Amino acid sequence: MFVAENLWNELNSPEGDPEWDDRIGKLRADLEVFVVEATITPKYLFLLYPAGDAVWEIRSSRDDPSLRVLGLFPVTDVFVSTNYARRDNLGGWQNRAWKEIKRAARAIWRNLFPTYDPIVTTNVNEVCSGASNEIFYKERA
Amino acid sequence: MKSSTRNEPKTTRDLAYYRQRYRNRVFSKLVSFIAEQSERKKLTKKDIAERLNKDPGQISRLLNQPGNLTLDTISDLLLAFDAEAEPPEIILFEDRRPPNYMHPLIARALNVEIEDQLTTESSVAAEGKPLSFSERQLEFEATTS
Repeated sequence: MFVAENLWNELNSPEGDPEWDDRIGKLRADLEVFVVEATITPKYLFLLYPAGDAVWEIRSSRDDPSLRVLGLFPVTDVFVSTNYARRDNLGGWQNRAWKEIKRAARAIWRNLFPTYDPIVTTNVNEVCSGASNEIFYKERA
Repeated sequence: MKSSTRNEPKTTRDLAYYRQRYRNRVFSKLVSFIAEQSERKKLTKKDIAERLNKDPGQISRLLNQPGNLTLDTISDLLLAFDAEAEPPEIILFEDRRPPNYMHPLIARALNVEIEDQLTTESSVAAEGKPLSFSERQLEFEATTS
């Protein structure tokens, strides 16, 4: 996993506000899941609409505020996290704030890798080899 | 994380990080086990719920978030598969495995000296001679190709 500058700075910012420090500590552990755990559960990694933008989000939802870390995949199992946002600041899916952070994610990617396109797919297994089988999570017919 | 000196308080961030890290690890292990076993034994959430006398929705909630698990619910879920967990392994930080070596390009970008990593125990070849970085890369590429 690669972490873009603004998120890196937040993860390594000086401690001060206990509530935010607690949240950042948890976010750090949640991001680490992508690197160290053998299995990525279906509630962890999501492809954002539209799929053609190739922007994914990692959800760090405990405790409030729920955080969303956006990023793209240059190759399988390599997540380049570009930016992050508090879920409560984003509003509904059609909200302008969502469009803006997705646009920002792509802009940061373009800035980092001007000539290299991310993987575009709707299949989580093509970007993450440890994505767990969803069969258990769906009721069989 | 800095090593502890006597009575030095742990930071809020470290406390939160290690709590969450532990929750995530237990959760990941449990979910992997349940996904594998339910696939093998053709079990659904409904089957597990019936074995535990719970609502299927409760099973879903437990397996959605690491924070939803307690020691009791972990034990219950494992029992539904006729299994139980061993007590967790406890490791001193000083006994942890060293982190992965840094890629030369990253090391150059960060201006980090990487020579020391060449002589770590894991990079010593069978003959006892430390592998060079390029040799390690070749070995890595060979094992991953």
